[in-house]
Amino acid sequence: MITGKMNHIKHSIKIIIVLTFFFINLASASAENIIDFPELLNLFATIKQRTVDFNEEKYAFYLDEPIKTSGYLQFKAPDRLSKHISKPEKISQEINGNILTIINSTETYTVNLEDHPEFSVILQSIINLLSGNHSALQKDFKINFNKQLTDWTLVLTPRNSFVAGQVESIQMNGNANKLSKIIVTEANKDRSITHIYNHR
Amino acid sequence: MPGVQRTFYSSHFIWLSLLALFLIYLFSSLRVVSDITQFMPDDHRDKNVQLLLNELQQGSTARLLIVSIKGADTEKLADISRELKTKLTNTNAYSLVHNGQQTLSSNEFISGQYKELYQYRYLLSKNSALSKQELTSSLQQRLSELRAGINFFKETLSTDPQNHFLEYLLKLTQRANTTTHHGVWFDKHKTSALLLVELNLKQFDLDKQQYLIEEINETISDISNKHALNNKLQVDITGSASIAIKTRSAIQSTSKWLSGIALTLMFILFWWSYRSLHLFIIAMLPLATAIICALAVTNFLFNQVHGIIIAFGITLLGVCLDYPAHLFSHHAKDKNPQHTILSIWPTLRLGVITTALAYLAMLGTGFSGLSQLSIFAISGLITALFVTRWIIPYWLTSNDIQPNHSYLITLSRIQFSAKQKVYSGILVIVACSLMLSYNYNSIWSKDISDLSPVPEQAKKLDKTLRHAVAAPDVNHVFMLKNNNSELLLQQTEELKGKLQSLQERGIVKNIYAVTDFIPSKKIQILNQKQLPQRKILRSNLTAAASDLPFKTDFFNPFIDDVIKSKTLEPLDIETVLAMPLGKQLQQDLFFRNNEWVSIVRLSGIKNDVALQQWLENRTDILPYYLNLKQATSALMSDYQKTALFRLLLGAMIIFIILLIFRPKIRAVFILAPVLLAVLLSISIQVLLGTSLTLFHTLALLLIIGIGLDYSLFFDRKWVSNKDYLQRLHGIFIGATSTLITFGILSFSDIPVLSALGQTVSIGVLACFVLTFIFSKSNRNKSEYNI
Repeated sequence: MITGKMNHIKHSIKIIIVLTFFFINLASASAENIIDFPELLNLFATIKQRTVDFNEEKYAFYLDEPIKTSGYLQFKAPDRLSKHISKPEKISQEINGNILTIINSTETYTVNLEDHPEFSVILQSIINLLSGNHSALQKDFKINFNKQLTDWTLVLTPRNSFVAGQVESIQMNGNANKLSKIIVTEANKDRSITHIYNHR
Repeated sequence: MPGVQRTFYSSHFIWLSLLALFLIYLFSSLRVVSDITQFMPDDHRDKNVQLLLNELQQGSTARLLIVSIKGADTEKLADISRELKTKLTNTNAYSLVHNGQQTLSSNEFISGQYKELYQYRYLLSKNSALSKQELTSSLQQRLSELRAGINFFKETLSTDPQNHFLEYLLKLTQRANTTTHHGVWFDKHKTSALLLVELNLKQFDLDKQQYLIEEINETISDISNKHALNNKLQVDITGSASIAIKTRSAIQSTSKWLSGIALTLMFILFWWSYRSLHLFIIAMLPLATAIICALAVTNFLFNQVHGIIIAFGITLLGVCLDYPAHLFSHHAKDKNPQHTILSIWPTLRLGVITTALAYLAMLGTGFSGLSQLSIFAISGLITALFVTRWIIPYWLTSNDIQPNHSYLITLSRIQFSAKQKVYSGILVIVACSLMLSYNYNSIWSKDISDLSPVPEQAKKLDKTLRHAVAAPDVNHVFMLKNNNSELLLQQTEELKGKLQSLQERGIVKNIYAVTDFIPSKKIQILNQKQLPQRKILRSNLTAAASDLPFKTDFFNPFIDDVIKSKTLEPLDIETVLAMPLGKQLQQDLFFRNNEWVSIVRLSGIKNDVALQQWLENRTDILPYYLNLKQATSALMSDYQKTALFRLLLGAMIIFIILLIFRPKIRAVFILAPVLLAVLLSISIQVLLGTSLTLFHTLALLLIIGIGLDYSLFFDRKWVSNKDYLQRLHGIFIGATSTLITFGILSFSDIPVLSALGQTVSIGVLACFVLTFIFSKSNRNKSEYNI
């Protein structure tokens, strides 16, 4: 009996768990039922503004230990992306069109991204993903998209040979329309890993 | 009449052969120059001023253009500026395109255009930053950049962790505008994107320059269409090349409309006076021949003709229309044209010869422009005289010219007594003295740009854009010269050191010298000596990087490069000038007349008076100082004094010739009204607020020539009232045609031509009135029964 009761309880728990997952998935899937990459981009395109926190680690062959930074990122559709580093020092970066403005405690730099395609391509990949611009991503990268339920992994490989000589790949991970990690691997295997959380 | 026929054939054969010869010569060899320095004295006392003016007009500065683009939002303008830079840089026609964009990349240092220079980076600028503290600060800065993601110079991070070379090259772009918006240069109001473009031209070729400027405009138009701006953009281009082209086109368009209107009005005048198209056409023959001949002779003697001389000279020769007018007016149906020309020939000849001799006085002044003008005028006047004498009469058919217009009869009845003549003379002198003394200080122009044929609008635009890009002031420069390039660089460094005080006191913002980029070998060796030994540098670097995440051996190439720099041979001027950087230094350092010349420039002069005061006490610096504005004012003054003196000399020559051919009293009465007209003309100009330039003085010579012609004709004896009416008619037609030509010229955009137009119009009117007043009062034919 007990066994039977236990079995019943186990069965009920299974049902509850399955139902819970079902309803959770149903809730997500109703908005975020990812079938393929274009659909994921459509989900991103619906959100016009978002702010997230990040932790970043940069690994380079000339560094003994990674350079660590943290702060928050802001995106405003269609192409405004800003990065505000708060630790270990305050640095803000803002992209407006082709112009990247960097402000640290002592100086303000203005960089025309067209002059630095290897740098531009990384930032543009994030902007184009967040704004759901499929054609722009397709133009710049070979796209490899994998999903498992609502989790997904996107690996972008630059098409331009000059850029490919600098940047090997940009990998982005996420769950539904939330980006959770960006790994940029340079041609010399230097890389940066950005963890993204606290979406708001 | 076989004799007449023979003369017809021989005169026409000579005329047409010479005309054909001159035309062939002009088509093959005419060289028109347009820069103002060609008009400068050949042997001016201040060679440095001339050298600088030459450099400004023909050197690398002359190939520099400032492009301003407005008419869209700033983001679009910045995009357009960048696209324009990319497109222009991709062609070889432009040696430099600056728009404030930072496009230097470490690849250029490792394998690109700066590879060679990169090795010398520790010799070319000071190396005091190799201490532990400085290295710490540099490395922390690099770390901060890495955190921010600015690792554009990562390829040179291991060899130049201080961005020593980048800082060195950045000084080049810092020489211009400081307002950067959206990553490119803008004016301070942020309404116009600005670019500096240097044309890749070795020769001063106006057509090629025009082509390249049009190409810039077309490129901007293409970009504007791409951005769907549909030519809403306003593009302004200035610079010596652009100004020269604007001037040329202004002269061309002025010539076109002026000649168009003048021809129409002249036709109306001739039709009204002679009722003949035929006469109008043949009246043009002496003028056209005179222009062709004057151009050919001037070009032959000087190997070039200045653009101003062409514009100015051709209008001067407009007076040649008077000669056939005299002939036509004196001609009657019952007379043989040969007899008519012979009857006026002595007067006509005397008028032309005296005027030509007056122009002769302008020769040998050392001012090439004056000499060219003198030759142009003399050859033109004499040609017109010859054509009027030996060609025109053959084409003068039996038109019966009846100068019986009522205005002539009314005019002919007006008579002035000797007393009235004296009173009117005194009145003119008193009025002119009052006008001139009241405006005494502003009679003469002190600004050399007043001599320039550049349209006023182009001058204004140039000033505004030069100010907008904060181009170094060309009015305050220091010039150093030496046969030895090393010594010159040392002198330049020493001078710049002394001038630093101006910067410290806030009198000037920046001081630019070539030694910012090519220090003397002495300084390069000093920089080498400052470099630490390997052991010390390694110890400093290890200490600097101790708390930072960089690998300890990562900066070994930097240590190696510093140590290698200690053994490098210092660079010399010639080597650097042959490198790509050399192109950007040509305005500061050049080789002229077997000497090296270095120019030190000031920018952002806040207080002119303070600068002058500071300089006054610096006897060690003052000899190198060139105030272009002051120097050119002195030059102008010299020029004007010379021209005025020669003008008086010309008047003297005329008077002496008149004394030879006419009784004393008559010579006085012939010349007096002309001189009074000259006086009246300049006084009215001064009263109107115009400062007189060299061209006004030359215009006065023209007035003398024209006035003398009237005066001599008025002075001629006449045989009948009809004869008197005929000459009055001739003079009246001559004066009216001159007034028409020069009156129209007064409306020209070109300051020089409008000045000439106003002066001559007033002068000719005054000449006509005064010579008429001073002409013989008794018009009774019985007095002269010749």
